[in-house]
Amino acid sequence: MIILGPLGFLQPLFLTALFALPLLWWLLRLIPPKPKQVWFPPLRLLFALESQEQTSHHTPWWLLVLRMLVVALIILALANPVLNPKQFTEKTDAKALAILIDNGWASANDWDQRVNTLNAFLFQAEQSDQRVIVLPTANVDNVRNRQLRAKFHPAKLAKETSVDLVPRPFEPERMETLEVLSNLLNTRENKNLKTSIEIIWLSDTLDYGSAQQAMQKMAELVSGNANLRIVRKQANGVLALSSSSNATSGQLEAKVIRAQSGLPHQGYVHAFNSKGNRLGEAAFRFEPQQIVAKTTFDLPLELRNEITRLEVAGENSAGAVTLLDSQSRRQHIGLISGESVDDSQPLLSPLYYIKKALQPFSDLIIPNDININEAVDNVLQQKASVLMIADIGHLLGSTEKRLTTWINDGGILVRFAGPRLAQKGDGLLPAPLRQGGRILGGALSWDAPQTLSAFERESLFYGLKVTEEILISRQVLADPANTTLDNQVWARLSDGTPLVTAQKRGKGWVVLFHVTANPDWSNLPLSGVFVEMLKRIQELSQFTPLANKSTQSEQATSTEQENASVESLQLTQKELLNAAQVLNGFGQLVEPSSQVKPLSMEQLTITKPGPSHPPGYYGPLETTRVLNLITEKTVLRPNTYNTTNAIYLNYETPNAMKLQPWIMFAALSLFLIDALIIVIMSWGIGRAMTARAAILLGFTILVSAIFALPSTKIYAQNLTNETGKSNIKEENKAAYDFALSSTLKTKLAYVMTGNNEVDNISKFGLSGLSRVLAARTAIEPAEPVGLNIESDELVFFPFLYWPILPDAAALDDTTLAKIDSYVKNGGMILFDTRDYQNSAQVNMLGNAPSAIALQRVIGQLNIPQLEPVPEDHVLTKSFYLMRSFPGRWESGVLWVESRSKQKPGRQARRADGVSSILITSNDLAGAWALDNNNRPLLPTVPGGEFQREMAFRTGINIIMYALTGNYKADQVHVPDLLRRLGQ
Amino acid sequence: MHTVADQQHSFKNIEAKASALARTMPELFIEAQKVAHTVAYGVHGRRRAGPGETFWQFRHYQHGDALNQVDWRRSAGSDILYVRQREWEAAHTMWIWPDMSTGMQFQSHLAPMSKEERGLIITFALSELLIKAGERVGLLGLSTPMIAQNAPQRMAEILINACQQNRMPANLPPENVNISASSECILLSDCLEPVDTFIDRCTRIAALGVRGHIVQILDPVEETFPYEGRIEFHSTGGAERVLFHKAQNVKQAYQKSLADHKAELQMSLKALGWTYCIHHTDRPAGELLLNLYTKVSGTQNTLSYPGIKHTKEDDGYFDTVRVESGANA
Repeated sequence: MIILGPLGFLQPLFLTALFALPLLWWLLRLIPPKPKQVWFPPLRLLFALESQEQTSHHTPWWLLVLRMLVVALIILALANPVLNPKQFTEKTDAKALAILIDNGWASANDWDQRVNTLNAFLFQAEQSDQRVIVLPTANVDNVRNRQLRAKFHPAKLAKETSVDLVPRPFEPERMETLEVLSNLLNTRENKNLKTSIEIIWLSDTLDYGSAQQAMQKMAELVSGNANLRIVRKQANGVLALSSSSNATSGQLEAKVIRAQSGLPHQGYVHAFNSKGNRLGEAAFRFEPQQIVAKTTFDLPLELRNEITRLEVAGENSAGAVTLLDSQSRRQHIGLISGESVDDSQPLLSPLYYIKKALQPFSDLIIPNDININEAVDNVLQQKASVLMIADIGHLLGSTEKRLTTWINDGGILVRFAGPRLAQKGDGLLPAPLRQGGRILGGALSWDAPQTLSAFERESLFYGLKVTEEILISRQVLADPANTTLDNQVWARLSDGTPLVTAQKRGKGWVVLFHVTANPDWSNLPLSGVFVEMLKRIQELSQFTPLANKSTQSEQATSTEQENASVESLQLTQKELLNAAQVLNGFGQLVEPSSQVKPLSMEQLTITKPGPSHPPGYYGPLETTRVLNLITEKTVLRPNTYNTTNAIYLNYETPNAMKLQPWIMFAALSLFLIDALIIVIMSWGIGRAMTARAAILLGFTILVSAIFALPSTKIYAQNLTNETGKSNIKEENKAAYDFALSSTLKTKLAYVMTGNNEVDNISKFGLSGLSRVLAARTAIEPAEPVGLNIESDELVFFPFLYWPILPDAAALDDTTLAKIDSYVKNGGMILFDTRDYQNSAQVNMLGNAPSAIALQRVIGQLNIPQLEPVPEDHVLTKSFYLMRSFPGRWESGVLWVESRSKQKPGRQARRADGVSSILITSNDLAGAWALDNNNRPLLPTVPGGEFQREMAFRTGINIIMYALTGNYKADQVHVPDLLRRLGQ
Repeated sequence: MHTVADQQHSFKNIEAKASALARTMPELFIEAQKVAHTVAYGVHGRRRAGPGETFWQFRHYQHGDALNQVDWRRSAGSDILYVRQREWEAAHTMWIWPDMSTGMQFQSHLAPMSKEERGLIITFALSELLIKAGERVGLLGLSTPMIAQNAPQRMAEILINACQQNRMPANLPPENVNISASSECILLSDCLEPVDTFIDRCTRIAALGVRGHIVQILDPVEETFPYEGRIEFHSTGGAERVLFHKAQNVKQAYQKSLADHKAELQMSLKALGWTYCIHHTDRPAGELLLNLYTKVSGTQNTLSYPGIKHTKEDDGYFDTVRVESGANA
C-alpha cells in the first residue's frame, strides 16, 4: 500500500505501468505498422500529392491525449485506490510488532477486510523495519507446537507467511494465544524486543467470555512508549444461525441471532439438500431491539425432510450454517397393537388412525412380531423415541422392566385403552385403573355420550381447539383413590373425567388415552384434534437413546439378557464416529483434514467445536450425526472494548472510499466518447470508415446488451425446451392419435386372433351389436376396433370380445400382466369359445379343445371361481329381463365370477362385485354379425330369428352390465321389476 | 537515379522478359487473330480518288486532266465531259510502335491482361488486317516495312530479339527513325512519361511528315484509384516510393492530376495533327482495334459501333468512354 496524500493504493505495483504511457505514445507515433505495398506505374502523378496527404492523416493530438487518459485511468483503477486511508499511517518507533488476528468463525464474513488491514500494517512494519509476529487466535495446532514455532520475523517474511491465514470454523482462543506471545517474549533471545513491543489486535466483534481478560493482558505486554492498538468493528453485523426445529405447524423453523441489537436488519435463510441444491429460502427480519429473529420454511414435508443444511445468505461463515442430520428430521415412533395383524378391515385396526396421523412427520416402526415382548425389543433396538401401544392389557414382567428403563432414559410411552386394558392394567400406567370401564349413552346408561372440555392451561394440549363433534361413548377410568399429585390430566371430558392422563417418570413420560385408538369407543381418532395431540406428544420427546448415559439403567437391570443389551447400547454410545465432512471457516463443507479426530456418540452432544472437532457431519453415511458450531443455547455477546489504554481503529474508516469503480466508469465513458468522435469524424471522411465505426458502435451496444439482458437467455432456453417437448410429441403421435380416437367415442373392441374369418365375424358382430345398441339404448358406440392383445393399449376400452380358437397360443408374461391390470382397473372381457355345437358336454374344465385353449390362454391369469349366471344376477336384468343367454348356439352357459365365495388375495375381480370376466361358448358375435344392409350373416340354430333377437338382447345386457356395473342390482328397482313380472 | 545494380537487375529482367514474351507470343497471336477476325473488312480503299482499279466517281472535266481519263461513254450522254476517277488504292506504310517498357507490364486485379499484352495484341491484329488489305506494316524503329502474310510472326521474332539485345522499345518513341513522309504511325503506350518529353519525340516523328495515332493504354486502377488505407506506392522496379496513410484521401487529387495529364497530352497532339485515344485494359481489345482500323482506313465518320461512343470533339480525337461500373469496388 502506497499513500499519496489522501489517496492510498492497495495494489501499488500497477502504478509502474504509468511509466509505460510515454513509451506507448512514442511507439504509436514513431513505429507505424508496415503499410501495404502497391505497384503503381503512374507514380509520378502521386509525388505532387504526397505532401498534402501526410499532414491531414495524423490523429489530432487531443484525441491521442484522450486515449492516453483512458489507459492511464485503467491503470489507476487497477492500482485500487482508496480515498482517505489515513488510519494506518501512524508510525511508532517500537522495535517489534505483534499482530493478533481473530480468525474464528465470526471473522469469516469480512475476512478480506481483515487481510487488507493486516497487509497494511505489515507494509508499514516493513517500512519502519520492525520485527513482526502474526498470531492467529484460532488454530488447528495445539499450544505446544505453536509455542515451538512462534518467532519474530522480518516484516517481509511475516507477510509471506500470513498469506496462509484462513478463518477457522470455531471460536478463537485469545488467552492461549497471548500466553504463547508472553512466553515468547520471556525467552532470552527476545529480551531486547520485550522492552519495545507494540501490539495490534485485529479483533472480531464477539466477546467469547475472554475479551476483557485478553485486552488487559495485551495492555500489560505492551511496553515502552508503544500503544496497544485495537482494530474493531460494529458487532451487530455478525449473524449466526442458532438452531432449527420443527415448529408446531410441522414446518422447519430457523432462528437467526445477532450479538447486538441496533439497526433493523433483514435477510434470507437458504435451505439446501445434500446435493447442494437450494430447496427454499425464508426471509427473516430483526427489529431494532431484537437480537433473535425467527423464520419458517414453508415447504412440503418431502422437501423439508431433504434439507440437510441451512445457511444465512451472504454470511459465509461457519456460524451462519446449521447442519441437520437424520435425527433432527424425523423421530422414530414404535407402534404395537394387542390385536393380531389384520389388514382385511383396515379402518377398524387399532393402529390405523395413529399411523395416518403420524406418518407425515415421523418414521414409524411397526413390528410384525405377534409376540409383544419381541415386538418391544424390536422397537427399542431401532431407537424409537416414542412407543405407542394400543390396547395391551398387561405387559410381561421383563418387558415392563425394559420399558421402565427406557422411559426413565427419556422414552415416551403412549397407551391407548381398549377392552383388554379395561380388564387388567399393569404398572406402566399414569394411574391405576378401575376394573371395567364406563359406558356413556349406551342402552342401559343414563348418560349421553360426552364431549371434550377445553384443554386446561397446564395441559400439553393447551391451545388446541376442541370441537363439539368429538363424542366419547366409552372409556376406562382412573382409580381416583390412587391418583397422586404427579399425575397430570391433559384432557378431560365435559363432566371432568380425565380422558388423557400422563405421568413423568425419570426423563420420560407415560401417557394414557382412556379411549381406544380406533373409533370403537369414541370418534376422537377421526378428528383433527387427535392428530395435533399426537404431534404434541411426539414433540415432547427430545429423546436420543444413544446420547444418554445409562448408569441408572445398569443398576436397574437384573437379567443377563438385559445386561447384554445395555452393554451393546453402551458400546454403540462409545463407538467412535469419524468425521465425514466438516465445515471450513467460510461455512463450506469440505473433506476433513488429518487433524480432525473422531468423536463418540456421547461426546457429540457435549463437545464444543474446536480445532480437532470442527463442526460438520460425523459417522457413517446413513446415520451421520451433526456437530453444529452454534447451538440453541449459544448467545452471542458483543465485545464491549472497555479498555481505556488502547487506541481504537476501524477496519474501514467511514469516509474511506474505494475509487476503483468510479475510475473504471470514467475510463469507460471516455472510451465511448472516443468511439463517438471517431464516428463523427468518419462521417466527414468517407462511407467505408463510417461503416467500420458503425460496426464498432454496434459491437459496443451488443456487449452491453449481453450483460444487461440475461433474461433473454432464459427465454431462449425455455424455447428450446418447448421444441424438445414437441419433438417428443411427434414421436408419440401415433400412440397419441390412437388414444384420442379410442376415447373420443365409446368403442367396443375385439381381440384379433389372427384367423381372418373369425376376426371378420367378430368385427361384423360387434358392428351389428353397436348398431342395435344405438337404435335401442342410450349407448351409441362408434365402429368397433380390433386389438392386438400383445401390442395395443387396452385401457381405453370398457369391453373386450375375445374369441378363443382351439389352437390359440399361450400368452407371455407381460401380456398377462397387462390383461391383469386391465381387468383390475375395471375392464370387462367376454371370452367366447364359439364351440357349443362341437363339444357335447361343456364344462369350464372340460376337455373340449377350445376349453383347453382357453385354459392355456388365461390359465395363469388367476381367474376367480366362476359360476353360471345365477337367476338373480344383474346380467339377467341390466336392460332386458333374460333367463338364458343364447348366441348362434342356444344351450351354452354364460359363466360369470362367483359372488358367493370370495377368496382374499390376487384376483381378477372387480371390487364392486361386477364380474370382469365372462365366458360363453355360444358364439355371440356370430349371432350379432350383420352385413351393411342389416341382414344377418350367419344362421342361428336352432331358434331362428327369435334366437337372434335374444342374442342381441344378451349383447345389450352384457354391454349395459359392462358400462353401468351393478347399478341394476340396486333394490330401488325391485318394485318395478316385480310389477312387470306380475303382469 | 539508375545505379549499376539497377542496370544489372534490369538486364536480368530483360532476359526473363524476353523468354516470357516468347512464351506468350503464340497465345497473343491467337488472341490477335481472334480480334482481327471480329473486325470486318473488305477491300481496303482509301475512300478518295486516286490511283486504283475500283471506280470511285465521275466528275466534271477540268483543265489539266489528261484526255485518256475522260470517260467517253458517260460523256456521250450529255454535253459535259466527265472524268472517271478510281479510288486511291496505293499501298501505304503503317508503322506501329508498342511500348514495351516494364511499366507496361502492370496488370491490376480488374484487368484481364497487362497493358503490354494488350498493346502487342493490337499490334499483331492490326498488322494482319493491314497486310491483308495490302498495306505495308513495320515496327517503328525496329524493322523495315513488311508485306508478307507472316508479318506478325516476324514482328514477334524481331521483338524477342530486340528484347534479348536490350534494344526493345523504351517508354518513349524512338528518337531517330528513317521513315517516308507518306507513312502513318501508331504508338501504343501508357503515355505516363512527362508530356514534354513524350511530345518532343512525337514532334520529331511528325516533322518527317508522318501522321500519327496515339493510343494511351491504361489499366482501370490507374483511372479509378480504388485504394484505401495506409498504402505505400512504388514505381516500376521499386526505386521510387510514396506513402499514403489514407490513400482514399488522394483519390480525387490523383484523378484530377491524371485528367490534367491527359488533357495536356491531347492538346499537344492536336497541335501536331495527330489523333489520340484512350484504351482501358478491362475493355475488349476488339473495340480499340476497330477504332484504330476505322481511323487508318479513314472511315471514322461513317462507322459507329455499339459499345463505343465516339466523342467527336474535333477531328482526330476520340476518347473511348468506359461505362462506369464498379468504380467504387
